[in-house]
Amino acid sequence: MKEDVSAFVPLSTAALHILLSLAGEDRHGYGIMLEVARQSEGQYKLGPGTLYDNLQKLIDRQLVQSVGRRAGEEDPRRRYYRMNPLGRAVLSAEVERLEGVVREAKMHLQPSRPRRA
Amino acid sequence: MLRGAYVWIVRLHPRRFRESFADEMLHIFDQVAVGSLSTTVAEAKLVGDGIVSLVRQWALRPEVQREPAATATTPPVADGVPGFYTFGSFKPRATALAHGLVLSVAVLCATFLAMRYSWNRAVQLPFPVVDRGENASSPEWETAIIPSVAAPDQHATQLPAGDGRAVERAARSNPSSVPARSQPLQIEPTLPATVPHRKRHKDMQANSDGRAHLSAVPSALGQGINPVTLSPRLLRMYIGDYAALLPGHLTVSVVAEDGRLQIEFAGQPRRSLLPVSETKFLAEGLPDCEIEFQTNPDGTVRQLEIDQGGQRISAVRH
Repeated sequence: MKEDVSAFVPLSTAALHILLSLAGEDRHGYGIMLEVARQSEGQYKLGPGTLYDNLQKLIDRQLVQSVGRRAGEEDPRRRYYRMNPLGRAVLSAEVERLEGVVREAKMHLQPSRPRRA
Repeated sequence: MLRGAYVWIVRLHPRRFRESFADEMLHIFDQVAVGSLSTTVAEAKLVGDGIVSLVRQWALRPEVQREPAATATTPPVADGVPGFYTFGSFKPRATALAHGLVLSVAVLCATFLAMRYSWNRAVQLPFPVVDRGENASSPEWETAIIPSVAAPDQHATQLPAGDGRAVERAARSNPSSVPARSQPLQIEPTLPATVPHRKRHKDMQANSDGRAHLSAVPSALGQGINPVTLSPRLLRMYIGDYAALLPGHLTVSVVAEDGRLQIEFAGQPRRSLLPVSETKFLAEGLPDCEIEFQTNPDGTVRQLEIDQGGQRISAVRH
């Protein structure tokens, strides 16, 4: 499984944010856009074109699946998306990779201590 | 307005992408337009995003452009004989059929209208008038109407033309007689309904040396026409080659054939000449075409002028 997941990382920024937004619950497209904006504190905004282009790729790679429409939804055009176990594994692998990147960045960005004579 | 543009942009996406996400993209457009303070700016951003997505889908996503393969069912192969593939039942959309029907009817009506219009009205292309020098070569489109210099053996039966050099020099000294612009000589091969100058018809007898038997009135023109009578000596003076100083260098030959004075435009059949005065003639089959010979003071023929429907062409004798 680990070898399979390694083929998907690193993820693009959009794919990472989409998977992150779907990590907690199923969401429709507009909900994903709002969640991504919330997670990034408004610094990263997805447009519908970018969102569905990446969703299409994630669906093709079987990281995400469409679960259709929900009964009682106010707008019948809304369709919900759910992250697959493979997508969750890929997201975990990406987060681990990013943790390593952050760790390395922190090490190199710490102010250098003066050496003892 | 922007929503309409966005709808069209979404429709222009590849079919697979459009069928999967078009409704949701329009839903998001409506949600963003309602929830935003500056609606126009938000809608413009979405339209721009849609255009980028459109380019991306067509340029960078070939896998999305491929239609899903038709579900083929292969019947079991028995005894090595290949079976037949049956594709899923294809049923075109009703809207596509309606659009196709309307388009077909429109094209059919336009075709019939064009045919009817062209049937009633012929297209008349203007003949280009080009200023050219005397020695300019004639292009093909001019030579197709006004042939160039005729071959010398075409006039093997004609009689001696007399002293043409003096006539030509005299003609060239009078440049006003040469048309400045080239005009097409349109030959209309129809017999004239009426011919003026009705005078007495009388055939001319052969001259003394027997080289030609000149008849002043051809039989085809003689019916109902009373032309003037000219002497064989006068008619022989007109025999010769004349060159119209046109870009195509039209050669006009006046010959005696079958005892008649005839005129021949290069590349065209000869036509009999009917004298209506000592210097003016009518050509057979050319209505409103009058040919007048002009002479020098010493009596030699200088040139002939062709007047057809107001168009005058001068041809200098060789």
